[in-house]
Amino acid sequence: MYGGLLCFSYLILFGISTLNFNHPFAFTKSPASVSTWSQPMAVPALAKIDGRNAPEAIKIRRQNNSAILRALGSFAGSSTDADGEWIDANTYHAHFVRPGKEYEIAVHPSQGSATITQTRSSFWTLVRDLHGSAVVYPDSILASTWGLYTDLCTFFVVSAGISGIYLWTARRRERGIGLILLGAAGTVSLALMLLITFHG
Amino acid sequence: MYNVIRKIHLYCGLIILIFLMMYFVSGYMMAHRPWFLTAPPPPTTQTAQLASTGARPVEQLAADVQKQLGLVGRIEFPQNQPAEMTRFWVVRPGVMMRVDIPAREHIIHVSTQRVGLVGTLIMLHKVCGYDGQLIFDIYAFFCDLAGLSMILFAISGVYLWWRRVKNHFWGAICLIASCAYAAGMVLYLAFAP
Repeated sequence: MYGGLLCFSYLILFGISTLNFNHPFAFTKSPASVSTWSQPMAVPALAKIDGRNAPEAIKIRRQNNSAILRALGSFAGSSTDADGEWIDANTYHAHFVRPGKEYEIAVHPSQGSATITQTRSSFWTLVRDLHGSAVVYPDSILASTWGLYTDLCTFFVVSAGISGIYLWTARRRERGIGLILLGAAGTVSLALMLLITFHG
Repeated sequence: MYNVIRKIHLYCGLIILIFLMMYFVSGYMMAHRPWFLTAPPPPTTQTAQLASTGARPVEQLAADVQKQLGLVGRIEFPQNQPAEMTRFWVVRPGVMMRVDIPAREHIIHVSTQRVGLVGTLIMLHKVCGYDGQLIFDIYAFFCDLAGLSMILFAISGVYLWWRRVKNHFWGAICLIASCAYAAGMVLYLAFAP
């Protein structure tokens, strides 16, 4: 019971975002706000990628991107590590995405400046992005806790399903109707999953 | 009232149980892909002659090719078509078929990628939306039921707790903590740099 109350907000968010994935209504596609500005940015020497093999290049991009994020005072997921490239000798371009924000950053190390384009997503996009998110953000412990909350709620719902079955079977008066509902709906559900998997 | 809400909570739970279990188990696998996903087998390829060659919209071309080759699944198009080629995917849980039709040839190239059990579950999780194909539409309806039931369980659960328990202190702490945390996270992600 207390587990359910602890997961209340996640279940509501999960339910709303599930419905939104299924029904992407126009009002949930409201445009994001985009702003661009330049600012001084002192980034420790960004490494070049030329001539490096793929694993080394990824490692360098990760270090470069991490340094840029720290200089910006922001955070993003590690899945965007590969989104970084030298456009010319004096411009390193990085791309970061996280729920709520997206950044395109062109760093000019010799000038000590950066041009930043920030896309702030709408409320609905943010809710969809939070659906099942378990990303770990090295630069934000708080944002990383959402992944733990997701795991907690997953564990709770699966446990609630199992314990619900146990508690229901203990009630003799509702066993019959429940068995019919569970059997019929379970058969239809499994048949549907198998049908869609093997016959499209 | 209490008994009505309790029965709704119970019976809705029994009806949607299998779908919810699938969504949460596959969702956990999605969130922790490196733990579960193994390397997929190499894709298989096939080529075929395009049966009809007249000019037509890509949607019609894709439907014709799907019918000609008996490719089973949903048609999906990339955001941007590659140059000099029509590309689309035919997707169903467990199987992704990439179809390429070069503009000046009348040959269809199909690359089929199978994804194993975990991949199949993850793809089952991602099926959503109504598109007129009966089976997929019924599946999308169950997806709607799962979403609605989550909201229903959360709200009816709060009602049942409030009516059943005399001391509301710890429950209220859990509920307030949950709401404050989610609202705080949304605001943090929206406004943090």
